[in-house]
Amino acid sequence: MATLQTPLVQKIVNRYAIFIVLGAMGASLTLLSPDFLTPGNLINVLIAESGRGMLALGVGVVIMSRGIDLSIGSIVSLTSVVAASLIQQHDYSARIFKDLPLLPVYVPVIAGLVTGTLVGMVNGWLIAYTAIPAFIATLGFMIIARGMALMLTNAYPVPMLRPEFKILGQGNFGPMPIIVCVFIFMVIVTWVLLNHTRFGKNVYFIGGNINAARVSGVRVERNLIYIYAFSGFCAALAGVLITARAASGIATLGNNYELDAIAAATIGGTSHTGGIGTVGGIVAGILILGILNNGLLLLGVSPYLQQIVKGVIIVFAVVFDMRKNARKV
Amino acid sequence: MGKWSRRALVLVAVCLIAAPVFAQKIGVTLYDRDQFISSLEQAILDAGKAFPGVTIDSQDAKQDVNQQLTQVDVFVTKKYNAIIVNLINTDTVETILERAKGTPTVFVNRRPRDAVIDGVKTAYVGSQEFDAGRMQGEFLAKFFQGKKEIRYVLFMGQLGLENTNERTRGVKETLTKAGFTLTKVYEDTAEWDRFKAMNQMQQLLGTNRPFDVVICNNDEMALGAIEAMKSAGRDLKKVPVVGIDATPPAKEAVKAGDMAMTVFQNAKAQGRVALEIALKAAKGQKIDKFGWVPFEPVTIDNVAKY
Repeated sequence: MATLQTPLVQKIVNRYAIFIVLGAMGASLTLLSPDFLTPGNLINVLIAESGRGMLALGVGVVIMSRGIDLSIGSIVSLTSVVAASLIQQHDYSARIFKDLPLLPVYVPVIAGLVTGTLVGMVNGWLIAYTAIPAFIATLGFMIIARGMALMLTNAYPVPMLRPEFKILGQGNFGPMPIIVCVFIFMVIVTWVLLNHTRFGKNVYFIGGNINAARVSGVRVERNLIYIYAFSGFCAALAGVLITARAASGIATLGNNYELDAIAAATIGGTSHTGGIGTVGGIVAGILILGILNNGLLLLGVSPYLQQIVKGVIIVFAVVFDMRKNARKV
Repeated sequence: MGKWSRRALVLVAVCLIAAPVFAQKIGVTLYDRDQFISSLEQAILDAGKAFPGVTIDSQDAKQDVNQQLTQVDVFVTKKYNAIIVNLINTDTVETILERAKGTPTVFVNRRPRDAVIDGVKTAYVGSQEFDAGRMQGEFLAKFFQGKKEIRYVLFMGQLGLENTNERTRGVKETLTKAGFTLTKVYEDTAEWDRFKAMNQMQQLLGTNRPFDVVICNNDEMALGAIEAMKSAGRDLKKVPVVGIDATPPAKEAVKAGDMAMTVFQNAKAQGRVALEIALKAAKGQKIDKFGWVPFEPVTIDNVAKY
């Protein structure tokens, strides 16, 4: 009996390792802090992580294609100041664009999304046609986009946004905050894209073996542009929404978000050697980071110790999860 | 001695004293022209107009250490009487003094190591970070008069920086000395970042832990905390939020009654004092090692002035 059961348990543990880590963390925090397992707190975790969650979805898809996108944090800042500068209150004297008429709310939203998607497309184009490594192309745009954001604003915040824009980040859709609804929507979109479209198949194919994909007739270049455009779009969407939530455009918003997003995707079992990864894993990864931040906050852990704890848990979670991949090889 | 000859003597004496003053040339090198430094620069130029015969040559090093060194070299070659330096990097101070070749040098706004300041040929003009925290503390001591315990939430800037440490120490020490018992409800870094402070604040509010005050090392974090408290429907009149910097949006928030107070760093006074010390040093007069320009508290009562 025992010999039969062990492999089954092993299989389940391996397959759902990351969800077990998530559950274990949730359970221990419930024991440690009475404030943890309340609907209010859990929703707050979701609100706090929705932005980075969207980034993780985008960069997760990129990593599955055996690429990397370092520019997403800076895309957040660029979209933040672009969108904010178009929707400042008219009675605020230090506006960026003084002669701008009162624009409808969708203008800054679309301007932000287009900006981010364009940066992503240029990333993809560079990687596809100049054959420079994704690390370098997106590192370039990480610096360029941040520079543009700083230049547009002179490093000053872009405050006093109109209330009808702020509602996007602060308002509710039924019982759920809009920003969380958008995140859930993007989770579904990404899942459908990866599992039920030709684009999704191509992502895994390119990530698994780019030459095989090319030989089999996949239009690799075009798909690379789509992949990075998707990542740019996700970052831009996050940028617009968290700008609305913070009620201010900030040129340093999204600093280091790319690292959090890459960490989340990696914790969630997305393999940097390409071709492996699931949307469920990425969501689990972002929730692990979110619960970790929240738990450290609730327990009042000293800020210095927090960094150590975070690092240890991230590495531990990946080690625990990697055992399944190690066995396959 | 006749009336006229005495007058002539006085005139000669005045000329003798004033002669070096008329000839004074001052070189200024700035790290970059951001909003704060530009207004500091303007103050130096304006203050210069009050001294007839003083010429000021003001250069912008555009955050390039090499360019700053070259500018100092040029000032020395042109035999300027004193130099005002707004350091790009505080580690280059020794090199700069070497290149200055004994020309009196006044540092402004970016503070070099105390060891290089001798009060003869070198001085520093700026504001003391500790005081910004102290002013928050004094404001809060008045606000909470009659209370014994203050349960506080504190958002700090980047860990390990001088201004984070000093501002934090300033507010805590002042409140403790005023006789309050400080009870920590939450204390963490939000890295000067509005959105990070907002996220942390929202999660903290979700726990319903009571607190009396939100202290922030800068205005951006204070604005983030305010945003979170507003959307949770908290009364900002009862729980004051205090910041530092007096940025334009923070001043708006003070006007609206959302932010209880912020602290203003006086760029104009820093520029004026730097020039005054530079002129004194150029004449070989005794100067102070430090020209401290006080921070100024900004509340709803005086916000219109700023």
